[in-house]
Amino acid sequence: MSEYYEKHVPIIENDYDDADFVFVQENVRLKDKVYKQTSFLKDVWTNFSKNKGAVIGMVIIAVIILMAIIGPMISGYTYYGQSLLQQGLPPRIPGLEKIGLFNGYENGVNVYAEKGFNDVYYWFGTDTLGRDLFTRVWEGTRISLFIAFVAVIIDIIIGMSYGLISGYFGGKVDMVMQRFVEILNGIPTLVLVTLLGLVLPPGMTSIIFALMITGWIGMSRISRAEVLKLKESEYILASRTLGARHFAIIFKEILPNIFGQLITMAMFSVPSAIFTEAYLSFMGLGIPAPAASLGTLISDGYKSLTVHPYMIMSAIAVLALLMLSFNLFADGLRDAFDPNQKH
Amino acid sequence: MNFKKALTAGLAIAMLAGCSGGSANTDDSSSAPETAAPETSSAEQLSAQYSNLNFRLALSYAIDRDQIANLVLKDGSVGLEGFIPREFAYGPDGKDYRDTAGNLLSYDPDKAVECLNKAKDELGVDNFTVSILYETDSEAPGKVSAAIQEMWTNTLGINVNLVSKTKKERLALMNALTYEIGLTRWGPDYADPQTYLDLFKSDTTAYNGYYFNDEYDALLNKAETGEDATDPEKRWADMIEAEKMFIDDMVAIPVFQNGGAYLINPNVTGIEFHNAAVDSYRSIVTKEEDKNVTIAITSDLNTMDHHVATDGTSFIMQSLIIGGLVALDAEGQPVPDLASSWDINDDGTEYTFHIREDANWSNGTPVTADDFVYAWRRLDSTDLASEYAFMLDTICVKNAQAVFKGEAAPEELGIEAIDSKTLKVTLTQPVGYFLALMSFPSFFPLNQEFFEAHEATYAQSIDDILYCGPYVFSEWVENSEYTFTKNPTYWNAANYDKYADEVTFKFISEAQSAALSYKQGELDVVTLTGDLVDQYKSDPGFTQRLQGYAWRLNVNQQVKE
Amino acid sequence: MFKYILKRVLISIMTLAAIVLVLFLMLDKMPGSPFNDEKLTAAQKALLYTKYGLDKPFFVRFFKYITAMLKGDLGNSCVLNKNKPVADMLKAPLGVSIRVGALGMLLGTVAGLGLGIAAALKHNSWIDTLCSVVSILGVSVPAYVFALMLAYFAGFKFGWIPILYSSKNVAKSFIGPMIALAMSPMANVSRFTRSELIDVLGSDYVMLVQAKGVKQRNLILHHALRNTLIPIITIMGPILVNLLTGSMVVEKVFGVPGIGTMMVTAIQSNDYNVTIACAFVYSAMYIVMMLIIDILYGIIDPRIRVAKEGS
Repeated sequence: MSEYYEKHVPIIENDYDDADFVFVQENVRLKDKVYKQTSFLKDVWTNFSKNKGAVIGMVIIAVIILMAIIGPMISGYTYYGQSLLQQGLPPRIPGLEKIGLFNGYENGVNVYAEKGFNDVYYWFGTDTLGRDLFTRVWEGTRISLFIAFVAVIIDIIIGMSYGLISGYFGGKVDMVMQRFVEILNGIPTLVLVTLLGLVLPPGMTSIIFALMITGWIGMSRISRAEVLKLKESEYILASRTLGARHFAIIFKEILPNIFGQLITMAMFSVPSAIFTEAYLSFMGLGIPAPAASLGTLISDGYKSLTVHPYMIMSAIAVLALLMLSFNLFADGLRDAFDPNQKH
Repeated sequence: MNFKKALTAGLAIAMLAGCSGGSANTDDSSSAPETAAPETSSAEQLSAQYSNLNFRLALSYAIDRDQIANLVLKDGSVGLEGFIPREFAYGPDGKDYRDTAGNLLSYDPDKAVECLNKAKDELGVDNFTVSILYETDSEAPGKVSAAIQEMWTNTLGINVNLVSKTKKERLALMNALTYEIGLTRWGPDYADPQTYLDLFKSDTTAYNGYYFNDEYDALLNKAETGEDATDPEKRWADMIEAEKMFIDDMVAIPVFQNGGAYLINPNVTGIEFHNAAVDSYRSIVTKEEDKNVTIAITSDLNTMDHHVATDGTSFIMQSLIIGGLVALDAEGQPVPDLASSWDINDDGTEYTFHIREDANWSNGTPVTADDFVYAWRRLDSTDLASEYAFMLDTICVKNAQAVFKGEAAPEELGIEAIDSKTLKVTLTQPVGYFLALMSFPSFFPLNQEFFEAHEATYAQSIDDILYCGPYVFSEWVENSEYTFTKNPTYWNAANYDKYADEVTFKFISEAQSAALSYKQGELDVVTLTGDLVDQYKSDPGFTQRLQGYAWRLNVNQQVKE
Repeated sequence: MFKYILKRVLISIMTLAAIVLVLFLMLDKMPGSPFNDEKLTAAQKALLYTKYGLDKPFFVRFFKYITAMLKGDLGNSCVLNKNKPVADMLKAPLGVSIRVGALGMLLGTVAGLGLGIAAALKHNSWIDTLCSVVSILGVSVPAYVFALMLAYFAGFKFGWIPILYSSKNVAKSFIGPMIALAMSPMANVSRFTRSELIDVLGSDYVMLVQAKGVKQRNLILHHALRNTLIPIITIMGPILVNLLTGSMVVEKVFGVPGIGTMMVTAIQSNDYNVTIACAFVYSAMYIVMMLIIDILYGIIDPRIRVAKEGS
């Protein structure tokens, strides 16, 4: 064989030298680079904080919540105190009035001077019973937020459990549970809620109940869809093989994976719950007087909209800000929880 | 994703929620008067509380009725001076009842506190919690309740809860006596104090039936059916005394008398407001060229069948197209309409009406006494179960109750046709307001032949109605527009030239859009809510009136669980 | 596909039956009575209850109602329009409501699409800001407030539109309510279109098309828009819900004699038959629309059809 080679294979001249071979690394210990460990939360925060809109939304929410807490305390008025003689006063803010904003003028007349209250300031004006709107708006914001959050938390709990159980067990259980959802979903919320308003006594509990009754369906859909996706995955199979109980699998293995989505969904639900509450108030299922929610403030202010527009404007502005900021916030949260997913 | 991490994320959000939620909670329990921990008072305790006269007096003294009328309602309502409203009933001397009876109520914070302290001593309690039930169907009760809540809290330092319900729920609760204090009103059936005072007789079945005062009953019986019934002056004096007794006992706390604020096109005149009867739109005069008048109504037409109607809107429209034996003039005095004259027997229990020879239905058949007999029997029939059948009882028509209950034959009802144009009505006792009530739609005639031919669809379209009033129904756009044009067959048609050619009612429940439309000249008559009064009170068409409705706080002395 | 539609239809029918039961149950529990006159005696009330069949036990009434309903008889009104068959009462208002609602939806969707596309194409320009403002206002200002402001400014101040409904000039009277109702669909559609189109424009296949040198105009019309429009069908359901809610209050402001106004008065006066009928009609409209959307979606997007048939 060697002869053959020697005969037929041409010998190629060595046209390189040893200098061509250099150690890229010599005497350096090679190791994997370890990045600083970041917690999941931090990860979410990093993603989230890159989103300018989301941060702005969060700041607005924080400011509104802060105002909802301290607003009623700093005005010097109570939300229920009436001063019938001081009714219908437009907004007047010290300082700002000098530059012609919030100066207590309405239709070119200084209502404060006309009624003889020169030293009185109502920052957002007063309503038809002479109650301070600034205090009432923040008080109302507080109650509206409370209602929305409680309703949404209940939604999460019910919807999540329902969806998880329905999706996990599948088969007949799923069939029955899904038919029930479909039927409930077929009843327009508006009809259901309007009629419920008549059956239930007016008050916060009733409103929360009315908001909750159909609100959980969206949550249950999401959790069910996720369970269907996850339950065939290897790690669940492994867990099952190891003898984990259904309950443990559902709540320990599956739940954590859909929590982010649920929270995002919840943040989208909060503004719509507040908005539905406003509709309920207009239909007469509101918070009993003299307490107020954004909804009752809007429906009260509506009665004088063409006469004293300012009575409704402050509540509408807060509502609009809440809607805007919660949507921005939830958008950011969604992207932060799952950067790969666009929607 | 790690469970713990996700949970922390969740908790962070939950804390955010809890932050606002928690604060709402703390505040609710500390300062909000309406959510102050409800004292677990048993029904007996509450009954004892409300049965205490000094407590009720304290509540009454602490209400500033003028402020409620002028600053809260603003629609022309006035504070009540007694149980009976003003400009409603006039005595034998022609004077307003209220002027004779005087002002029995006052706003006096010092006295209120004094009475409250007495009540505290008598009941041995430190503080009181009361709750006011009001209806949400209209705006006024809510505002008035909120104002009263503030007045009581401020002046008396008691806890006041507000309970809002729809009107029908409020009535149901009050009828079951499962309420504490209820803001309610009475719409009088006729212009006499009796319609009010009767509410609190011991035998009243409705929610007022907790006042048992033999003297009060005796006084009223004496005035209504007893020895004073035929002596107008003594009767009047009895009523005044009964009202005083009522106020001394503070059985219910009178608050305000309903007003009404309108924008009426200055070119339109002749709308007659009646405080204790149906408002009349029968003789509207307009200076506008087209001679059309458009009136905004805030509640919709329910039915054109005058025997089943129960609401003001329906009554107003029925009065346009049919008509009674009498009509009311601008002062509310009965004047001949379908009857040209009438005779009354000496003891005032038999009325004989002579129906006009020229009174005809729109299909040409004459209006006869039989039409009235047929109509009244239908009103009183068990089958129809009319909600206004009680009106026959109110005017004391013989056997009205018995026929309604089916205990007597319809023929036994105290109404008969002597001949085709002569009608006789028999009463069980003289009734001072009988004649005026003959203008009320429930007592309008009905043609048997026409009715039986159209029974299935009677009064459901313009062709299913027979007309004998000054106008006919010419266009019926359901839930929206109702147009009436002159009736050429009306007995007085020849003298009707001066009145509006066309009267249109337009249903619009939103007062603000209606007012804007008025300003544009689209509407001639618009009802204003109190909130709109400030804006429009300088308008040349701004008009205010008083209504016969009196609002009071019923104080339940027999609270049931 | 056929099996899928059949299944959907069956579920819809079941839902409607369940709705009637729920409505009946709720009305049964509703406090108060249709006969409220303070002057009525107990005996009279009993008589009235017998007359309208309200004294019978719950299931007897329910069964009777369902049987009559299948024959097209919705009972008689006992308050609103005394003794008139409810079926007759509904006809006119239902027609009005459907017309106003459909017009509002059409206007809202078209305007929303236009605004959304313009905003996406001119990303971060003034038109984009306008789109954001409109969508925020549209979802955060309640329909009744918007309707009244429209009546005040466009109707009263500038006189562009009539404030109140008039049977003499129906077409013109529809303008106000139509615009007021269009607000919410417009807000939702514009927001959705904008974000969807921005996504599509940034996607690989659009880049490929761009690379092939297809003109901008064709690119948007033939490639980008089509894929944007399909998902919009999914948000039609929520939009419809908003529209129904809006119609109840918007009708009040403009005095439109629609079914929303009727339902509110019926509820307030305990007119059971009218309330049930109105609520039922609302539910039926909703369910039928959802059914159409579902089927339409199945037809347009085969993936969904397959997935649904498979499940």
